[in-house]
Amino acid sequence: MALAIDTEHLTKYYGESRGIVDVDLDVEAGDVFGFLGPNGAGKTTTIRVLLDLIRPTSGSATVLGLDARRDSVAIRRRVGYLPGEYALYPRLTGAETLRYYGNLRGGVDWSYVEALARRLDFDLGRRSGDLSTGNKRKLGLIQAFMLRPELVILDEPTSGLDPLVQREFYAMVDEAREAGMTLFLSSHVLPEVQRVCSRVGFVREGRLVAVEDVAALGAKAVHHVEIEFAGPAPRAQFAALPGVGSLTATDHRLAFTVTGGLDAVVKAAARHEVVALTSHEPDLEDLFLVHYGELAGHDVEERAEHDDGERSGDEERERAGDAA
Amino acid sequence: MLRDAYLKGMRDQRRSLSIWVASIVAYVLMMCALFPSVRRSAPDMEAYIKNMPEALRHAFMGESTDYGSATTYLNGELFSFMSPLFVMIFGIGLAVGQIAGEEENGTLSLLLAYPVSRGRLLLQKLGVLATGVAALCAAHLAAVAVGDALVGLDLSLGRTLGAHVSLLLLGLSVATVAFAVGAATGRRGVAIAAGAAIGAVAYLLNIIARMVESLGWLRDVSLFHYYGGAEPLRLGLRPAYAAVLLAVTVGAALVAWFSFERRDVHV
Repeated sequence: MALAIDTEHLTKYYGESRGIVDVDLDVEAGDVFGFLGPNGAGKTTTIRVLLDLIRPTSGSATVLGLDARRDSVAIRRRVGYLPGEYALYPRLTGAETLRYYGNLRGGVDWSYVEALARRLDFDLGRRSGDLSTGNKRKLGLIQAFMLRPELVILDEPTSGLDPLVQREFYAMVDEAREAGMTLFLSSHVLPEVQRVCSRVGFVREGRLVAVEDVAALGAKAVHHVEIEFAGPAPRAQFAALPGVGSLTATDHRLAFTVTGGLDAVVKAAARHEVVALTSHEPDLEDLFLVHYGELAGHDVEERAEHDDGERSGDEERERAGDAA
Repeated sequence: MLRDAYLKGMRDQRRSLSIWVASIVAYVLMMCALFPSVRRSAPDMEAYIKNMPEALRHAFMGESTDYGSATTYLNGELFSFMSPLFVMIFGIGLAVGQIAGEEENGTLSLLLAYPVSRGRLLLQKLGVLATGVAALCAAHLAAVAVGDALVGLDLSLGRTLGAHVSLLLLGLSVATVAFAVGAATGRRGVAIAAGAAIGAVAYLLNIIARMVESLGWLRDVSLFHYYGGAEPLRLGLRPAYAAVLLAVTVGAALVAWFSFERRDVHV
């Protein structure tokens, strides 16, 4: 199949500071590709190179078979884009803003814009200056989809969206996939990527460390499980189960991690009287530590030493994403 | 009005431009209206001015000796300082809002995700700048014409037109420098500073060059000198001088294009 996005040794430094290093990315046409990594990993840098907003230090990128640098205008005629951070013209209404953007691409099917606005429950008549953050994101989503582009590039599309709108957005992504569109979306929330994407690329410290089929990812997922038993905790029995690690036990309670499916754990638990069982969503950090430890381990330590402040910010946002 | 970046830019400055036009028209008409009473006291003025040191007189009033004429009066009241100040401030403000303003506001990333090349966007934004400055100069000209009709200024049509073309070119050259710095850096503050510095330095160099004989060469590097210094209305349009201002404008536009084409757009 043809490649919608193809980068080779793509590298970008901002002066001395690292943006991305040697990124070789292949996104096939028709894929919904998740670009997953913590903030500051280089997701936005990669996306901005694809749109020729910034220029790579070395390496090359093609989008829809066209050179990202030389043929940028032709590319932008066929691509919808939602930046991670952007501002709108405060004095224009939503309708005026979308008309303007539509005109820059030779006009827009207005009935489709209205359909999208209805769908996201967005009021086109209000001035952008008066919109809440969530509504600004909705306007951004509408403009990214309204011209029915072949490829949609979305930078953190669900940040700032409330859960209902998020669900509607997931539905829009599913429909776009069925319509044959290619989607490339960045995220720092693993469950979101698992929900909507067919493939996922893990980016860390500016490098693309792994690309996986989302279907295969489930098998690698790490769950945190806690079980409270009516009787004494059967520690030895669980410790012997495949995939179980980091086991801690108190009188009636076991806490451990499970790599892969939960089947064996659930069946073992069923032989006892269980008071409570909780399983947390697999966590991006865990996935990295367990499966890409050798690739990313060094960077992980480095990050922990240098980026404590930023990291706690990431975690907060991740938790917010999980809660949503 | 939202068909492209040029029309959008013109739409954006409707309000600001009308306020500037109203202000400059009011100021010009007021100065014209005061002329008859000033003329009546011209002999006193003449005595006073003749007592000024020659260098100072040349610096601020040029070489005019005909103090009772409208040409000298309007040069002093409008063209030597206030009118270029109006036009330059307006031009700089408009210029830095184009690329640097959109970039700092955060609207440029999304705009450039649409199929508009950077060169074309730059051209449309320059078009907005040129149209705005031209509109303000045209309003100035219209106000002078109305003033002439009301109080009889007895101006030469050719020189009046010439002085306004000079005013337009001075405004454009200074504003385009600010535009270029904004396009190159993406920073509005830096662009404003550059434009203001160019304007102020041009004015001061021209004054100093006329006051200090040994520094006379300084005026050759002052945009104000090419505009006509203190007396554009007496000098009219001098093609070679106008060409210098035009060349600075075109040069600044090329710098804007060259640097904006090559650089990263800030988030």
